[in-house]
Amino acid sequence: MDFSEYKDVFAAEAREYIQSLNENLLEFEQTPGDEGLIAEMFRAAHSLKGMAGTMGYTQVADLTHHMENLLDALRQGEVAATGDLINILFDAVDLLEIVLEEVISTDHVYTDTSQVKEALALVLESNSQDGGSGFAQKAAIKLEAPALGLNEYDRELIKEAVAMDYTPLAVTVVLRDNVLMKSVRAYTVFQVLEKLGTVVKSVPSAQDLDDERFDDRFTVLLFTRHSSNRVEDEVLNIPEIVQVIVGELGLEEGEGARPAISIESRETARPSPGDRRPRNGSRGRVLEKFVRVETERLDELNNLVGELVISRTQVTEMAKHLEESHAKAAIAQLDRVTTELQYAAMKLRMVPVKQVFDRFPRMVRDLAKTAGKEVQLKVVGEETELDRSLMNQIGDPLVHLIRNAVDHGLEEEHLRRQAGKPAAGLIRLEARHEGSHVVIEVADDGRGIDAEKIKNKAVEIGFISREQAAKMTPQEAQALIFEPGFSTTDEVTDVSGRGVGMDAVKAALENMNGSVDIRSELGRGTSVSLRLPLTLAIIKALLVKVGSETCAIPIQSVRENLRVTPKAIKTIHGERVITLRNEVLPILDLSSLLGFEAPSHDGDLPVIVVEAGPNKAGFIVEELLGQQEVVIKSLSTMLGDIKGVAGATVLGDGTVALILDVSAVLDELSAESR
Amino acid sequence: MAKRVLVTDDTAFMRMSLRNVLEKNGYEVVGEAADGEESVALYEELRPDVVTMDITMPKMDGITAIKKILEMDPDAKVIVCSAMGQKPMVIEALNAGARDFLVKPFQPERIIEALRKVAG
Repeated sequence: MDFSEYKDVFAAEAREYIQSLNENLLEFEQTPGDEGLIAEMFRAAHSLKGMAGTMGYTQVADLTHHMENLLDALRQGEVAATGDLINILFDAVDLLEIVLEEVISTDHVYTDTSQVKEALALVLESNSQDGGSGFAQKAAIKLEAPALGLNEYDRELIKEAVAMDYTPLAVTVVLRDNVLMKSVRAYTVFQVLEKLGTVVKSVPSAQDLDDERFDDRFTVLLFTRHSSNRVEDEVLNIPEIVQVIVGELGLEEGEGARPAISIESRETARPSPGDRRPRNGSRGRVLEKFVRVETERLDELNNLVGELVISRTQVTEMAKHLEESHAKAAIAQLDRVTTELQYAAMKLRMVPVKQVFDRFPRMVRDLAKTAGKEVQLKVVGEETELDRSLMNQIGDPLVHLIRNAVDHGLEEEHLRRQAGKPAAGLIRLEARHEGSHVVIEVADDGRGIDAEKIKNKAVEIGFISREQAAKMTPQEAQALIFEPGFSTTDEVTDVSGRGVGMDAVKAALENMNGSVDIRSELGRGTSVSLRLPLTLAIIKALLVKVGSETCAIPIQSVRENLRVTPKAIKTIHGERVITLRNEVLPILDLSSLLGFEAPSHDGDLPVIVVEAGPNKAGFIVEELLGQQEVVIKSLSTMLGDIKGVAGATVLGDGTVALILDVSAVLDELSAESR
Repeated sequence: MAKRVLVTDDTAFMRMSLRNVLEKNGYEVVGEAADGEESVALYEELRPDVVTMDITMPKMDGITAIKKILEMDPDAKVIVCSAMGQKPMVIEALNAGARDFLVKPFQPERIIEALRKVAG
C-alpha cells in the first residue's frame, strides 16, 4: 500500500509527538512517578511506532518500540524512574527527532540507532524491579489498540449510551478495490447506519472520508439498539462492501477511575479479491476541528487577497465619480466583503507563539546543565498569535537572547547567593499584544548591564568619543551592544553580560519591520523586548505628498500632525529643530531626504511627527493625502535594500508609493548627529 | 420472474449499453426514457421494479424526476447514474431517495450488483 501521499501529515504529526514527548519528559524529570505523564509518553511512542510502521519506516518504528517497552515497564511499575533512565529517554527522543527528520526528507535513516536502543534495553534490564521478564510479551499484546482512538469525551458518551440501553459498536467497513466515488459509497454506508442508530465518530473523520482521504476502509462508532448481526447484514447489503467487522465496545471498570475499552471483534470472513487483514491501530489522531493546509496554498491565498485589496481600492476610487446608485451600493458591498476577506485571510496566517516557545524549556534545561547553573524558565502568553512568516524568523533571535541570558545574564550560584538572590536564576519569556504590535520579552534576574563599563569600553575601542560618552544616558549606552562592530568584540562579552550577536538580533528585527529595546538595571537583571508588527502583509499608512511623489508612512510610527510656521524652525548645532511642548524636535525635509525635488513652501508647513524606538523627529511634507491600508510589496527582488525604504505599494489610482522605513531614517539621523 | 427495469438516459448509446448488460443478466428492460419527464410518465404507466436514472438530462433532470417518482410511489427503487465529478448531485439524489448509485463509465458487474441489491 502506498502511503506517500500522507507523508506531510505524517511529518506534521510526528513532530507534534516529538514535541509532546519532550515536554512531558521535562515535566517528568521534575515529578518522576507521575503516572499521567508516563501514560501520555507511552501513547506518544506507541502512536509514533504505529505511524512509522504504516509508512514503512521500520528503523523509526524499531526505535520507538524500544522506547515504548521502557515506558510500558515504567507504567507497570516494573522499573524505577532513575535519573539515568530519564537521561536515556532524553537521548532517545533526540535521536528519534534526528531519524524522523531523515526519513521525512530522504525516506532513509542514516544515523545509527543501535547504541541508544541498546541503552534503552540495558536500563530496562538494570532498573527492573522484578527481573524484568515477560513485559515484552505484554507490550506486544498492547499493540492491538482499538482503531477508534477514543478520547475522554467519547468514553463519557459511551457510558451515557450504555446507561440508556444502547450498544456501542465499532463498525469497520472495507470497500472493494477501485470503487468509483468512494466518498459517496461511504456516504451510503452512513445513511444505512444512521437508520440503525447514531454515528458518533469515524476514523478517518467524516471530513476525510468526504474528501476521499482514506484507503479502503473506515471505522465508525455506532450507538444502536439493534444486534451486531443486524448491523452487519444491513451494511453487507450495500453494494461494493467486501467486509464488515463489528465489535462490541465494553466498558470495563478497572482498579483506576478510567474505564478501559476493549473490543471483542467478530470478523465476517468473506473471501473476495482485495480482501486484507484489518489494519491495527489508528493512523494517528483524528483532527476534526482542524485542517492541515500546505503553507504555500496559504501564501498564495494571501497574495491573491493582497491583489484583490488593491483592485478593490481602485474600484472604490472609480465609484466616487459614479452617478448610478445601484453600482455604488454593489461596490460598497464589494468593499465590505473584501475587507472581511482580508481580515479572514490575515487571521489564517496567525499562529500562536507557542510553536516557537515550545522548544525553549528543553533548550534552557540543556544550556543550564552545560553552564552548571540552576535556571527556571517562566513562559507567559504563549497563546499570543503572530504572523506565520514572522514566526519563522523570530526563532533565531530568541535563541540568541535566551542563550545569552543563561550564559552571561545569570550569575554563578555563589555570586547570586552573595547578592542575596535565590540560587536558581529566573528567565521570563513573555509574549503580549501592545496595540498593533506583539511584544516578546526575554527577561532575566541576573547581573544586569553596567552602562559605565560599556561606555568606557566603547571609548577605549574608539567606537565613540569621550564627549559623546559623557552625553549618553545609561539607556543609550546599553543600546550600544546592538551596534555592529561593537557587540561582536569578544572582550565586551563579559563586560556587557551579553554575548555576541546582538547586532544580528537587531538586524533580524528590522528585517521584520520590528524593533528591539533593552532595559537593564545593574545587579537586578536585563530585559530585552522585541516589538513585532502583527502582520507583514498589510499595514495602515498615512499617505503624504513629497515633491511630485506619494509616500506612505506606516501609521504606527506617526505620533501627530502639525502645521509649523517657517519662522518657528530654529537651527541649533547645525540641526534644524522646533520646540514642541518644551521638547526639542529635529525637523527634516522629506523631499530632500529622499532625493526628490524640494518644493518651495509658502506659509505654514505640514509636519508629521514620527517616532521609532528612542528616536523622534518631524518630517516636512508637501501635503497630507489621507490614511489607507496598503499592501507591502517588497522591493528587494528588483532593487535590493534601499536604506529608509521599507517597500512599495500600489495605490487605488494605480500610482506607486514608496513606504517609508521610519526607524531606519531616524537611526541614520541620530547617527549623523552624534 | 425477471425483474422489470426502466432505463433513463438522454443518450441512445447509454440506453443501449444498459439494456445489453441487463438483458444478458436476466433482467427485462420494459422501457427507455430519454429525459426526466418521459421517465416519470413511463414509470406511472409501467410500474417497473427498478429505474436507472441519469442526472443531467434535457426537459427534466434526474433529481427532479426521482422526487416525482417517489411522490407517486414511495417504494420506488431508483438507481442514480452519474458521470465522475458529479458527486454533489449524487449525494442530492441519494438524499432524495435513490437507493444506490452507478458511476460512468459503467462496469457491467457493478451494474448487476447494484440491481441485485436494490431489486432484491
